[in-house]
Amino acid sequence: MTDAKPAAVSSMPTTGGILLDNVGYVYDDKTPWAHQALENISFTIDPGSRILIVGENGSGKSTLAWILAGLYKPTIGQAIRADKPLVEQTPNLGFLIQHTRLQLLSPTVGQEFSTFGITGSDAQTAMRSMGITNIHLSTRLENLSVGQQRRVGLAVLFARECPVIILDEPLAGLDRQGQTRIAEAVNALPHQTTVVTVTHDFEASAPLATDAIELTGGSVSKVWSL
Amino acid sequence: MKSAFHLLRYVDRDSIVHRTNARTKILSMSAMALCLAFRPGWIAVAGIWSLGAVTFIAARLPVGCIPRFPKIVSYGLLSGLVLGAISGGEPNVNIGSWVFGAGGLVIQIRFSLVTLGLLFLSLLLGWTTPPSELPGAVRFILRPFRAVRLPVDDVVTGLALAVRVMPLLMDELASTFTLWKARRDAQNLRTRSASIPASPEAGTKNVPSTPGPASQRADLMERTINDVIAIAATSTTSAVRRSTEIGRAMRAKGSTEAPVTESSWGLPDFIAAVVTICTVVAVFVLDS
Ligand SMILES: Nc1ncnc2c1ncn2[C@@H]1O[C@H](COP(=O)(O)OP(=O)(O)O)[C@@H](O)[C@H]1O
Ligand SMILES: [Mg+2]
Repeated sequence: MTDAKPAAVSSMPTTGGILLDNVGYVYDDKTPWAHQALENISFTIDPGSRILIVGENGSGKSTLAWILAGLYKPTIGQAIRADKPLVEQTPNLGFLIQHTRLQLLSPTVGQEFSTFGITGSDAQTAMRSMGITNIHLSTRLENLSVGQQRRVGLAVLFARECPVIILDEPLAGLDRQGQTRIAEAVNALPHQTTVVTVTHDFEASAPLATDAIELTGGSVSKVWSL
Repeated sequence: MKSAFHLLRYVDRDSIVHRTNARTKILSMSAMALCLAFRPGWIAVAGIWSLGAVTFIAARLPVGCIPRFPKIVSYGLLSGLVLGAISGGEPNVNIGSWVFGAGGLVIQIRFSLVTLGLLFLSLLLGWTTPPSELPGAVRFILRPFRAVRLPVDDVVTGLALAVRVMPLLMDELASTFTLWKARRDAQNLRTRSASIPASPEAGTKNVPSTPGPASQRADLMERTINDVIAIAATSTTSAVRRSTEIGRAMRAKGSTEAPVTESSWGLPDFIAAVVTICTVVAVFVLDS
């Protein structure tokens, strides 16, 4: 089965998938502080596939995640999905950033859900699936621990039903039980949802994906099936 | 994200300006600011920009380090100019048969140039001085004020902290803003798809239950204001938490005192002092 299965990540263009073509990213381009974070990144991701992006600290994983989420425009090359640049379709690209706190802009947990039109009972269900039954919708976000904020961020993200989800270090700093809970929630997502998980911890995140891409020094060094 | 606005960002070069003591540079800036306070005319504006330009060239800085301003700053300057133009006043300029009172606009232009000039000098300080040298320099300059019980050490420790947290705060503010824009797009998409009527024949217009465009605009306005507050609050609390950590780490290392790198005075300091004094004297002589 695994041998016959075509790889979910390849250099072959597919319809509806995400295509990165020779993507490079330079922070502070054309200034004295210019810093090349990504270079020559080319691959496609099939719709509905579950991909892991692994690499050391500073290898460019987060930068790539921001590009996949349509929040950074590649300095060179193209990042497209369904013939349109990713930067034009951010509402469809759900993203959990590494420092989740910065993206939870509502005062309370409940308001964070309702920002995206998710109502009380759906919010409760989403929270339960992340194993955070002890937090109320009226709880203020700044009173939550980093791990709790991450889980709330994930609950909101999963309830939004985006076709593509990008997770930057979703398991960092969580205990084993929390990690298992998140893996279960990811695997319970509709099978047509594309999930890209960025991590420096391959072992812990392996259950979240079927294919992996390794970044070294801002370039793809390895692509393989798990 | 690129060419985001940063105040303290060092450009590693070897130049006479880089070799000038941080104390000298701060004193020179203070002298220019004082000069503006006493002679706030066009000549002082010319003085400040000449000093800035000469320093920029002498520091061998690339043009690429000049930041693109955040839109809000540009809008602020622009609206000031528009207000100035509306307010009119002497002198009157004849444009065809139409008389335009340019006084307000002229004052506003001068005010903008003063503000930008001082900002330019601050940027120059940041580009040519390693941030870690600033607290020591400020301590040196504030030392005389200990006599009037100014808590110099507290000020310097605060500054040392600010210097370390500033880049982080800038990055976090930029990230939060990018995320907020994406979030707003997601919200708008939702509102739009929610207000699409079920049957196509009903059309988008004349559906009583749909809020009119005016109330939608008001909604958007309120949401935006709330969000701006949220962005500021979120990045600030995040940065405050971080600076608390850095402060604790500094204390754990045994001292809250900023390390003082008292480098010696040299020829560059002498030249900088002469140039500054000449500029200030020139402004006072020409503007009297
Ligand atoms: N905002 C930024 N400005 C400048 N350089 C950055 C910025 N963010 C990250 N970098 C640099 O880009 C490289 C890749 O960073 P990142 O994508 O965060 O790596 P990872 O997530 O794999 O740890 C690093 O060298 C990092 O220092
Ligand atoms: Mg990262």
